[in-house]
Amino acid sequence: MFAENQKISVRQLQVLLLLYYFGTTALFLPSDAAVTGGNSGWIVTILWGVAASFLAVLFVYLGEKHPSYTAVEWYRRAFGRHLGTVLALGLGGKIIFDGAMELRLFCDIISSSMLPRTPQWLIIALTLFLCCLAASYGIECAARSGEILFFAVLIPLVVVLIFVAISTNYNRLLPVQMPAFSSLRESMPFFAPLLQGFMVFLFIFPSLEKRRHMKRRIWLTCLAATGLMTVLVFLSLAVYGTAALSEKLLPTLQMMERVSFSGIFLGRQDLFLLWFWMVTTFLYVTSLIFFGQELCSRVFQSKKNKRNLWLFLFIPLLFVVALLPKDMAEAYWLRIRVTPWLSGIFFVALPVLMLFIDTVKGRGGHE
Amino acid sequence: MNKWKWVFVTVIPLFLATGCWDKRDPEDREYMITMGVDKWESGYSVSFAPANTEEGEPQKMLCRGNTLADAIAGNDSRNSKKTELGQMKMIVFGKSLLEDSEKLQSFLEELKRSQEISKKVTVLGTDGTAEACIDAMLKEDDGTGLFLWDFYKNTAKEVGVTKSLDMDTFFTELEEQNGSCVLPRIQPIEEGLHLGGGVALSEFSLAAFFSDQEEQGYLFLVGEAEGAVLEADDGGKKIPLRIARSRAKYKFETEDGKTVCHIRLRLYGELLGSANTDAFTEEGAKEMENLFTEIIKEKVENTIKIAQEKETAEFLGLAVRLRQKNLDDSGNFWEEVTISIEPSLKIRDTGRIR
Repeated sequence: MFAENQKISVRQLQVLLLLYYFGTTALFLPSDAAVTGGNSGWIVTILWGVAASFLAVLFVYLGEKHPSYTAVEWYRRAFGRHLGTVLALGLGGKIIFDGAMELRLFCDIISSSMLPRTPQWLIIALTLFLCCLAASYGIECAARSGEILFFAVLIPLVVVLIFVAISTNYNRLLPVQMPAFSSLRESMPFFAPLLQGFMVFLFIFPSLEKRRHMKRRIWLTCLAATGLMTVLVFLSLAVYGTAALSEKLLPTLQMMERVSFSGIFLGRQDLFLLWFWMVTTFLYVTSLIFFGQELCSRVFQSKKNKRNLWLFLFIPLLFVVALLPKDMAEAYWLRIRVTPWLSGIFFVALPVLMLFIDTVKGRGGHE
Repeated sequence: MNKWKWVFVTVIPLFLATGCWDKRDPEDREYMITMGVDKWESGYSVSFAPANTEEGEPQKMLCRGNTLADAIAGNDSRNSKKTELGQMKMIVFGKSLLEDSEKLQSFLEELKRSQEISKKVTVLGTDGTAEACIDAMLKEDDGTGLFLWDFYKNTAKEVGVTKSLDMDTFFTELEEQNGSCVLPRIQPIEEGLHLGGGVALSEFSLAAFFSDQEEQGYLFLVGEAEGAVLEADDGGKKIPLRIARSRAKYKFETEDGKTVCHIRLRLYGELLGSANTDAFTEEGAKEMENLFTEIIKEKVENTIKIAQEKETAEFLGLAVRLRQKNLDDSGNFWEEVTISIEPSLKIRDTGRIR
């Protein structure tokens, strides 16, 4: 049941954050980790995951200082009205880019593995329609859906991973080596999509109910997600070894496919498990559309009941940008090249700068 | 717009549009269960054993082309139904293809990229033509088209003369062992099909055929010899023993400046016949264990000898283990490494008599 108060709890936020981690990133990451980190790809995943968890704590700290702010108010307050508005519109661009690329990559996977003859635009349009419907009901709808789907997504995934872990020979992980600094640097663009879920921190604080122990809870959520990601990379390396893993496009799905155990009646678990990623993509794009609406409403100070009108701006933009790359490879490389810059600016540089300005000017009543 | 209009606008297209483009009824598809591939002039000769979806026995389908895609396109142009590879269970590589490294690699690249073919497909090699195997298989089959698949699902693990290999593992082993691997072997014989032995590939080309006995040696080496039946001669009496559990552990050590690879085989067996000694006593069991340990050692050494003759340690998986331990491997395995086979067999069951 919806309370229809547009508020979500920290637990719901934790669930959403965990699901955001398991978007298309989880499908590509093991292969990227093998390319850049070799046998130590799983250690690289831990390092970036832990770094990301500290960044999440910084966001929560900032959010607790200004609980009624979204990114729009943060930017305006820290950088002045005009520059703040420009930065907020830039963030809008990032929302569209992230959403469109996630949508495009996912629809490409669906298209190539399940519906090869169905036009790309139709799959994108239908997914967008559903996301649009959920976003029109606000973040509470996404949070509730996440809460319900969380168990349907993660429990089967964990069960399959346990079976993979039991049936795997770990020789391929040898020799265990620490990653070189150069491989850490090279891996950065490939791990940048891990931060894509952090968009939630820039908009969620006004919609949050009680925030007890929020820093610790969010930190633990990020660590749990890092743990699961590391297990995915670790098992992929154990199953395929660095050389074979490096050349795979979607190793996570392929790894799921090879699992067979007593009682299983499905021949292609990979296709069955694909719907779990459908859920995460649906929730992620829904949340991004909602954040886009919030951003526009606050930048242009439109009335709350007119919020859904911004869908008519966001949906066509997402649709067009998602169709711009000519194939999956172009969408993938575009995301790898652009995301580190956008995430670096909006998720690292600006928050650190805002914290600095807050500290210097003594702003923000910490709750 | 009220919420019901939203629901209508978003949900209705799902029912109207989903799957229209990809809709193809099962009766319009020809489901292929087994594929046999041989070399043919400039390309490949591909034989299919289709699933039995209609009345009557399924007939072999033969198509030729420069690539797999070309061959399938040719097959489609001659048939009223679309060739469907999504349900395929087995792929048999003929000797002619296994001998041609370049052609084999091109074909494997196509299989690797294919979205349609499941990576769980079992791969096999034959010392004849794959087409002959498909013919023999269709004769053996009870009409379901799943004869080979059933064998590898139900029996292969329990006979200890062959090992099922799925395509995903096949590609992984080729990648990490520089194009080397041991495929399960299939042979058309007068009585039908013989499923046993192995086909060793080295650098994407045929290196050797393993007999059932040599394959057993290989299975001991990889710790997957469960079900293997060994026979010992005890004073003119033949005593059978079945391997119930098989494990292999590798340890590389430097002894007097030379690398020694200790292969420790931990085995548990079940005595199936009566010996001259009382196998239920400690001394009797020890005697039997020593007898069979020697047999196992000899089998493994014979298999290793084949690899030494071919001057490669890749297809037995020895070289890759050395690389995992020692990053400075020069690549000359047999000169650098001495093998020490150390089997240890424990008879855990003597049956209902002593």
